[in-house]
Amino acid sequence: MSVAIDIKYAARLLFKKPAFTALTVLIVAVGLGLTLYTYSLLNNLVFKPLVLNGSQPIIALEAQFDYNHLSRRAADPYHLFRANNELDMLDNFGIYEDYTALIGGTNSTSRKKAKMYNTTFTSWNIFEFTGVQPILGRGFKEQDLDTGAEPVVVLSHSVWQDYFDGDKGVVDTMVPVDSVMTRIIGVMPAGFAFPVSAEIWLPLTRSEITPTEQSRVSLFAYGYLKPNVSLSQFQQALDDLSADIIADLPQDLAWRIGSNGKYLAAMPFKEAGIMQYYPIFIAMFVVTFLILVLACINVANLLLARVNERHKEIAIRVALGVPRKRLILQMLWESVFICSVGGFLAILLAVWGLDITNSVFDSTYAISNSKPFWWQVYIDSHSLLVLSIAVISMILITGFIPAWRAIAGDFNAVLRDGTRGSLSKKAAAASQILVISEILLSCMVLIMATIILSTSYAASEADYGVETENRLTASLQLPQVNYSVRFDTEHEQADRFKRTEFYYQLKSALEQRPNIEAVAFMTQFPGTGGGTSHFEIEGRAAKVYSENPYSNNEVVGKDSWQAVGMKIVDGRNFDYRDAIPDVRSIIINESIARDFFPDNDAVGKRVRLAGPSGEGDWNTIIGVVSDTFHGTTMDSSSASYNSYHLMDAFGLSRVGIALHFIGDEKNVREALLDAVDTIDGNVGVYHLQSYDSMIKQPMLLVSAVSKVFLLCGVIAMFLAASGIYAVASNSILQRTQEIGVRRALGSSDGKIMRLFMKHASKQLFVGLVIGIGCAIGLAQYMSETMVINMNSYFISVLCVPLMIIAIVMFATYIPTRKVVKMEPSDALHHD
Amino acid sequence: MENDKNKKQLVELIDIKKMFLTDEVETHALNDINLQIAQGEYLSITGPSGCGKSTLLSLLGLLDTASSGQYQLAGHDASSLDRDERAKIRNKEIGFIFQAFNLISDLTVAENIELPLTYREDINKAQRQAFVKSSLERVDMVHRASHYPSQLSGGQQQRVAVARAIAGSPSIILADEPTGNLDSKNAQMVMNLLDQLHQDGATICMVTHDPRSAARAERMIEVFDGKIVADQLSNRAQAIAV
Repeated sequence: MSVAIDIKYAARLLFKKPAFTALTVLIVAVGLGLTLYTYSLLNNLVFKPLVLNGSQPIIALEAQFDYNHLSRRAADPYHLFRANNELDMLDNFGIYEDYTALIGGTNSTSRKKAKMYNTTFTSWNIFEFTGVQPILGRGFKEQDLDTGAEPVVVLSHSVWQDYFDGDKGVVDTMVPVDSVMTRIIGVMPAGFAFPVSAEIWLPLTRSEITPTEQSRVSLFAYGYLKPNVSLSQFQQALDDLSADIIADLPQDLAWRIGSNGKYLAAMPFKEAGIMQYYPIFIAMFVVTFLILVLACINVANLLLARVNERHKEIAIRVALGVPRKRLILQMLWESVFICSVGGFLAILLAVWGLDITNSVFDSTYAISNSKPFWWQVYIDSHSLLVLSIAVISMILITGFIPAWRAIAGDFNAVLRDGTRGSLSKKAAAASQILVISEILLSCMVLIMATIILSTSYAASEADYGVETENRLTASLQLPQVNYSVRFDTEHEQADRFKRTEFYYQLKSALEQRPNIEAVAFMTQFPGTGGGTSHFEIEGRAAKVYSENPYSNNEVVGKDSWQAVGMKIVDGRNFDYRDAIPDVRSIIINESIARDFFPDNDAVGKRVRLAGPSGEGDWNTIIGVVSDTFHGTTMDSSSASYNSYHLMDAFGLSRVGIALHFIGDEKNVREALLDAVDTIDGNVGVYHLQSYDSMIKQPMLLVSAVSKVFLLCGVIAMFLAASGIYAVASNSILQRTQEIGVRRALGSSDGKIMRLFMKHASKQLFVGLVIGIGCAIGLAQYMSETMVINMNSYFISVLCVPLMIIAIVMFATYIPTRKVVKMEPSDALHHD
Repeated sequence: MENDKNKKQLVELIDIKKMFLTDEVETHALNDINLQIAQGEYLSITGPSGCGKSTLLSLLGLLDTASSGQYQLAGHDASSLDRDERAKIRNKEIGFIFQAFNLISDLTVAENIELPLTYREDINKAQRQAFVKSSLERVDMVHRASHYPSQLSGGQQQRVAVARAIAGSPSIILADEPTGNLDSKNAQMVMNLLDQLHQDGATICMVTHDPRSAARAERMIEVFDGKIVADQLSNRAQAIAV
């Protein structure tokens, strides 16, 4: 019964002040909503282990992450097998490689055009490993790897639906895969795309599955740890094994060693796929957690302010003999109501945010179709558990502390004369801590949000040194069967030129079309790619390779600059003289020429690659091309120093193509597909998109995350401004009597204002120093994979503290002024 | 009552009125108050709750302003002063003793006493410390100088408040129910202290409920419904006069 009375009373109090109730519920909803959203996002993407077969988490086994290129590195399958066999710590194990393959083509019986799909070449045990079996046909058998065995392919549900229209008789039919007639043996269930975003699966060859010696082949591995083996134990064992492998590694394979001197690495499978985003995700989690703490402080402060308003009522209750427990419980009911309603609204907010995020993921990977299959974010039981814990903690923090504070006071003194004397020492310290915490947390959150936002904005507005308007880009892939290179034979050179010949034939055919101005080939066009290697200038070798200058290296076709708005500024362009095998010509960009050849004498000088495994061949600089930027300006792997090699003798199996066109882009797309089809219908054309879209592609995820940071920033600003004002003004109101005493003793208004402003300045100093320090620490952590724009540092470290100073000074000035303006007699008897 | 014409007038209230406007209702807290206090006088103001005695003391202490009327304090026309001038006069001419002590909890005893002196520009630090020491000696609290108010009993806190009130040698000490929050023993001690101050020449004006405390003053004023209804010498003063 008494509980019912208490609930009724709490409800009456909340309804009596609807604005207060709405504000506190909103703060709770926003704080919890953001936390729930971020936790669900990171839990789905990173924290929750990838489990497909029972409860065992899948781990990834590969080479150390390449921080220079921000990419995963595959390892020699021979070394992966040694790790599996010699360490005996894995329960099950398989290897794979992600690639793309062309389904259909000239040999196809289907009338459909050939289409490129994400392909995983894998161990035959992949479906047994995951515990997921085909819905039609069968998975791989060991016999499928035998020499002379018929080539087989397993289709994903999406390819079955998309290319084969869901034909149930598709199993056992033949289809060209990269021009090789291949038997379809199975169709996997919807949603299955292990290891990452596979659309079709092909078996690796037996020599790759069971290698007998070290090679240049590079593959990734998946596995389960044996029971009682921890990931750290496995990594320790891998480090020891890697040391042995490195000791025996021949010089021509020394490139396998990571920049940290290590080689093999094991990590949770999901984490391996997002290494480049890991710091930014962690930063997001920290920022969100700080916002939750900020929200807690704000709500606790609002309730604390109410307790101050109700101190007389509480004193009366105590005087009437309310048990301490009952009083605390009675005061907790308000928090229970506020936090529960806030928690419910938080679920709605989080669901809304996650829906938007799923759409962003879909659009981010729409062109490459390479979204990891587990990147579907939703609220699961874990998230709800976290929400429940957060709600309960919030109830305790926001309700228990003010309740305790209320009953800890001298109720007799309150009842006797209705005054509280000046703020007690403990209460004053608590108020100070509240204000400093608000300043500190707001400072951290706002600096982080400003840095990320400003950096991503700068990246989106960056000048990549190319013309992107009326440019269509795509990737070309030559089928292995018709364009294989017979390495280390007399045919190698001819095979390589055959590949190049295709590209030039295509260029020539396209440039004859009236709506196509120029065609360029480049391994990665400016704005994409990135990654750097060191190079040595002849006669100026550094003592250690890593002290040499570095640049990004790209391979280009002849006459490619004009199509993307680049131009030769010194020396000459690539021509027939550079297409001769063993002639090593290189074109550098203006930045390299300016910074390393200040006497304007770059042309004619020689440079060569220099790395841990030794040096490459000498290349003669024949020209200097205008500056471009490879990779986004946000990635730490991006480069403004760029070197270009002619593609002719390389014989690339894949290359990027850019077309400068006039008129309608749709016609150009058709023209490209038509031209490729005419020359060789088995060549794959994929990732067709405008140049602008291609540049935006690698930034889509970061830009989506930055929008979350923007939201965090706006929320933090709202919480900070309202919170700092509320905390500061509450703390000043509690000192009303003190102000009255000071004025009674003869202090002038100005002196009191100065006293309070000085006090606020001290709090500001402490809060800002700690807040800025922590924010810079967090930003440093993010800068492992992200280049933080210097302007954003400047803007955030200058503007955010200035804004907080303004808020705190305003929040101190207004309430102090209000109290100072009271007659001293009123201030002394302020209740 | 006829004031002693030979004594210098310290306070003069002429036709003082104080009205409060609450919920559009005008309440007359004080009405036509005429009062003179001479230097060295010890007077008590008594009356039932809500009669206006605390409001009168607030006006006397320049803690509040009258709605109309004239107020002269130590030669200053207090009715026409601005906020800062009033603060200066409070600091120099008036010493306050409050019922709730009103010590600042995060200042030590010595710092509390020093506080009003820090608002004066004509007193240096050494002088301030000398005044603090002498005030503490007068209330016998030297041994507690470095303690915080929370470490003191109610009686001790009020003695510190008395020390603070006299530290700047004010022209008048205004005491608002100085024994209201104290037990009889401590109340007695504080009243003895006020007696002592008066004997040393201080002018004291005390608001009190307690008839015994009121009787210790030499002049007793009774307020009822915002008006002075009685102004007479106390029995003690009459006995001394006789």
